[in-house]
This record gives sequence, C-alpha cells and structure tokens, in this order.
Amino acid sequence: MAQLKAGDRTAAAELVEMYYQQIYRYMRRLGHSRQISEDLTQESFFQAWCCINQLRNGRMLSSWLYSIATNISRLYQRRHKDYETTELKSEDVPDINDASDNVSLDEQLERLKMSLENLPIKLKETVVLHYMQQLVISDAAAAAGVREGTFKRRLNRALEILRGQVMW
Amino acid sequence: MGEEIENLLAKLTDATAEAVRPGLASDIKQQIPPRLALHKSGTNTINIMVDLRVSKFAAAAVIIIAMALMAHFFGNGDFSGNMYQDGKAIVKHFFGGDAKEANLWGAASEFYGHLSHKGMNAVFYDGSIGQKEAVLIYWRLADGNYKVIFGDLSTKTVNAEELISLQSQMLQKNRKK
Repeated sequence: MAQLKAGDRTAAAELVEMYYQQIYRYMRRLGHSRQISEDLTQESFFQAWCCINQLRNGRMLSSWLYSIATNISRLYQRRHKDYETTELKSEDVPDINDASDNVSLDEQLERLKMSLENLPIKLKETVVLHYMQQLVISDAAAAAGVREGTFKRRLNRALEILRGQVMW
Repeated sequence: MGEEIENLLAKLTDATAEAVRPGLASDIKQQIPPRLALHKSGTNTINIMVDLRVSKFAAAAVIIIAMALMAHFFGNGDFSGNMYQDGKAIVKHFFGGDAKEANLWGAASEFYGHLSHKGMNAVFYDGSIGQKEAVLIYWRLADGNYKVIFGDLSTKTVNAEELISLQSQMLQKNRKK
C-alpha cells in the first residue's frame, strides 16, 4: 500500500493483476454486459490511479477498490436510465449428486439468478459483494458506502426476498 | 425443501465465475500513468462520492454549487476562444493557487484532462514541468492560433510557425541534455 501511495507503477501493475478478474466479475454479477463490464473495470482502475491519495492507511485495498467500482457502476446506471441488466451466464452449473437432484438444483439456481437480477440495485449490490465477491461484512459495507448496520439490514431484506422467490 | 439460499448463492457464484479476457489486464496496465497522480481530494464527482460518502442529494448539491462556481469563473460555459486568456491564473485558480512542483504534474494532467474532455484537442508535454520557455500544454484556438502554457505556468498565444519554433527549441534543449 505504501508503494502504491508513493506512486510506484510496479505496485499499480500488481494491483491490477490481483483484482482485475474480481472487479470484472463484480461488474458482470451486477448485470452489466461483457463489453460494458470490461469498460467499467478499466474505468475503475483509471479512477483508482486518480484517487490514489485517498487510500488511507489501515483501509483494505479490496474495499477501497470495490467502493470505486461500485460508484462507477452506479454512475453508469444513472447515465443510462433505460439500462437493462444482462443475464448472468451460468453455463457450468456444478455437476453434483444424481440426475433428479440436479434438475431440482438447476431450477433453483435458475430461479435464484432471475430473482437476483430483479432485485433493486442496492440490495443486489449487498448480495453480490458479500456472498458472491466474498467480502466480509465490514469491507462489503465500506465498498457499498454504507454503515455495517445498514448493510446488514439490506442483506437481510435481500435474502428474505430471494428466499421467498426461490424456496417455494 | 432444497438448498439453503446461502448454499445456492455459493453455487451460483461458482457458476458465474466466467473466464476473463486475457488481454484485459494488459489493457488496464497500459493506462497506468507514468507517475501516479496525487490529486487533491474532492476535485471530481467520483472523489466526492468516494471520499465524503455523502447522500446522492448532498452530492448533487455539491456538484451544482461547484458547477455554478465554474460557470461564474468561466463565463457561461463558453470554452472556446478567449476563455483561457491566462493559463497561469486558470491553473492556479483551479488547483488552489499554490501549485508546487511536487503536485504540479497532477494539476497539469488534470487540467489537460479537462481540456480534452471539452474537446479542445490539447497536447501535454509532461517533461516540461518547471522548465521556463518549454511548452507544457497547448491547444488550438478557434481563430487558428494556439494557446500555450509553459512549464513555469506562463502563457502565450502563438501562431503555427511560432509553435513549431518553440517545439524545435525544446527538442534542441533536450538533445543537449
């Protein structure tokens, strides 16, 4: 982090290597198309270079970068009012258990995918940050730009909706 | 009853971990600036959002006030022609009036970005920071002349021939070095 704050380009390149896949998949899971996700990933890193002095000691790199990516995604959605999310691709559904269980699991995954896509964006962000990008609550809340309490409330609300739509 | 929602989300996570285009990392790395800019905080919308964590209404208010100040300073948003009469004053006003050499690169690059964003087709020589008589930024004016900001932040309007002459002098000085 110190090297990064000192303007070390090698450290910046390492940051890219560490996080570009995560940020791209985050964008995809928020519902952006492949091309838009690539553009927004690049924009996130570009903004990161510009805001490098805002990287505070003690703050996780990941939550800092995710907070930038979250804002970039929100700004994109605001600028494109007619924005429609694209379908998450899940071509490689896990091959587990026997065939009858797989059908049930496939259906549940399909319903979950659809429900997630239809969640309000703030709720979708909480689920994606915590469960899919696997950030701990404190980092995920920082990335979403809210307090932990607010984040947990949103997460519970999102899970409640998803359970209602998927677990019937 | 089926899987718990958390387990299903974990499975969906695995299922949506799609391959990333191999060239994406190198595309991003190419955009790393030669020197990572150490901008002052709060100079753009993203910074405001990220840094202050304000609500969207408060952020909108800040942006509107900033735009009003900009409009007041630049005069009805007319970005062509005579607006950049004094590049030194503009850069100093824009970046707090005390631009030291240490952060001048960041200030100049952001100013260049601002010009580019406004379609001014500007050219930026980042090696000219602090060098008197070396062209730092220039852009074409509506009348065919060029506005030049020098490395010491002085400014001048020149025609095409004078600009070429200035650039030649820069090249010669660089060769001597």
